[in-house]
Amino acid sequence: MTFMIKLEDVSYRYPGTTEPALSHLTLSVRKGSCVVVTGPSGSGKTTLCMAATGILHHEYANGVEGQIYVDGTDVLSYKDVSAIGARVGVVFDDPDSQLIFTTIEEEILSTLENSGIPREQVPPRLEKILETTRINHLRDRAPHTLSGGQKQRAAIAVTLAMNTDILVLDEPTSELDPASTELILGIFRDLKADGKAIMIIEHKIGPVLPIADELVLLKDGTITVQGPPGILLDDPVFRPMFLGPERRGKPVMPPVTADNPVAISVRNLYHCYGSVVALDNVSLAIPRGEWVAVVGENGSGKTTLVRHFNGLLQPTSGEVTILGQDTRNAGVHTLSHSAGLVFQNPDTMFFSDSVYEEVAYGSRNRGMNDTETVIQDALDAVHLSHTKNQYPRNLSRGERQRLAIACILAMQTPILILDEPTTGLDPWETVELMEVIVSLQRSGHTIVMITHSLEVAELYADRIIRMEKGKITSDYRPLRGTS
Amino acid sequence: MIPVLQFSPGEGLFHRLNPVTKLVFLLCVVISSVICPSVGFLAVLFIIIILLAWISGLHRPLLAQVPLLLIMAAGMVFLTVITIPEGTVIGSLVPSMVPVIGGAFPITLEALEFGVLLTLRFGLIIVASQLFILSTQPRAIIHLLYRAHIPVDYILMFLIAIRFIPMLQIEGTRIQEAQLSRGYNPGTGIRGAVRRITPVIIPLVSNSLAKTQTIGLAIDIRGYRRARPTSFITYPFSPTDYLAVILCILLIPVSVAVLFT
Repeated sequence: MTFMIKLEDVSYRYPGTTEPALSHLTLSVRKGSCVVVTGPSGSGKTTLCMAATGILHHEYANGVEGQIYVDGTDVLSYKDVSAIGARVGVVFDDPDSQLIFTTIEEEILSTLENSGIPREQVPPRLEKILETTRINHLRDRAPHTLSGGQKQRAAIAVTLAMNTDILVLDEPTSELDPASTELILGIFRDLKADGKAIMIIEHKIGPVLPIADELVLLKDGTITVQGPPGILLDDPVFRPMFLGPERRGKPVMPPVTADNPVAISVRNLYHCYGSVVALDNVSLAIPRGEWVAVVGENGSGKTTLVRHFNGLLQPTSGEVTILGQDTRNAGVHTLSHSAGLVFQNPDTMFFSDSVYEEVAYGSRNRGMNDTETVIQDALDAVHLSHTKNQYPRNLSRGERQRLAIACILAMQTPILILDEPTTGLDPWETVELMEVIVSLQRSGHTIVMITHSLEVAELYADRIIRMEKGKITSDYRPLRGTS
Repeated sequence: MIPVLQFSPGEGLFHRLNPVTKLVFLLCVVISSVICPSVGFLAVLFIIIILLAWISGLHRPLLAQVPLLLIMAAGMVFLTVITIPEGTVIGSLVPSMVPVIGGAFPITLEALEFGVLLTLRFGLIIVASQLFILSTQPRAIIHLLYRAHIPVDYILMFLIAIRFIPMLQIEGTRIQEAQLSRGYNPGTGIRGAVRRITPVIIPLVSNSLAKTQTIGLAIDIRGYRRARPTSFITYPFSPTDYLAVILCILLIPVSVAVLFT
């Protein structure tokens, strides 16, 4: 049996920490197989990714115990990470930071040229990779102009250009829409059939299950369960450990009717970025108290639409009114009293030394009196009262996402807009976050949530709006059980 | 948002030149700017470069830098005025009618001329560097630097720098928007600029540090420190390149001649 990656009794503790990030971990990935590693936030998945690629040994300080073999050779025998990189292709969980050049074509070309393949093979390989990952139309685009999902596909394309026998992929589908996920999984399936060894690190394993040969559950840096997906997922004990808690969805609530006063009204909205039409004659009305999920593929116009709701974007033509106020006559500062936008990456907002101060910032900006009660209520609503003296960036991703919501809640805006709130969250954190949003809706908030997860949308939203190429293509109410 | 210091696709004169020619152009302009003490000569050179940029369709990103150049010019002139008080006095920074300190910080012709000279020197270096970056694919620059036997770590530092500039721009904008959504209203003027620092700079630095680490790892794992890339694209040296190189090299003896006249 040929092991392409093999970890034997590996332990590692980051400097300055007391708990090990990896503890006596033994794992192997065979040629032509796919191992999917999952686990809650902070369980050591990304550290495992760095261990399996030799990064931990070569780029971090000493202290890695145990042996790690890549393609049959001890990682310490490789001169450096670059030497291991000739054997292992890696997709990191932040696609933005691994695209180095100024166009996507140049990114892939540079990798091909650097791989040492004969010069005449470079152009056809380039075309094949662009076609396989369906990013041909993005070839002249700069990385910073792409959506998260497009960047993720480009990062995968670059890894394919390296043509290595081993692939280590840290959350490769986290920002992809369902169609792109299906496409990328097809590519991984073909790679596996070609004999490549694949290790995928994922929070939400559902989409990658079809290609998994082995599932591994990490907790506190240790493997707690390991085995074939068919056996583990049929087991009533192990199934929830991998797939997360049962999602019961939103409990039955009084229906929000169109007769409610309108919170958000959009009429014949167009928005253009230069010559690109991002929103094409969009009209909709969202009654107060409704929870609307906006779904659609990457680049379909979802984020462009909601950025009109708090004035970050102004219509090229058409009209947007928020609680009766025309956004053209109000700045972001004024609209921030009505509609709060929680960005996809919560780290874009944190700058204070404590959770409490972070939450206080928005309410102080509004000039509110008695901020102490408001802040405490906001922290209680997202179950973060116990962290109020902690440094915000030390919280887990799920906690940081909830803190971002608390920051907006403390401003007491009746409308809450959430851009991909479940990205990067594990299934437990996702359910916890959704329950927080359910309680916010109960307390009277209007919720607009962009999501790639149709499952989450159908379980929790009152209404689902699907967008394609800047247009609303469907607007429906999900059928949901009452349990 | 116009990204600064990024390759801008095009088919103009500068885009068609061989990267070596453009590097020779940049080096000759830098050398000429440093050795030539003539304001008139450097001003003509500046105008010629702007015209070349206009012919090449690259004038817009250059013109976007005009406010920065004007601020730099004002700073240069101010510094030279307060540090070179000797010479032909044409006025003073403090008007003579002000009691006690009237006439302090005299403005001399020599100081003004030196301030303008310094501005032109820096302006030429900035404009020529921008033309080089705007019209040359980073991959071509890297091949060029490899061929020039520049140490690989310096090449990678350059690569990360040019990639990081738009990333920082976008991250800064995103952070500013996130804070605006929280009712952040720093105001204008110096007070606004000071109030703006903490809510934007701290997340920007923290997030950028995390990105730096991933970029560094991506560069390592993709082997940019391992091997010399074999470019499948060849960069032909056309008659225009030969002519341009000759003209650029001629700049240096002309500058030396101006220095001694």
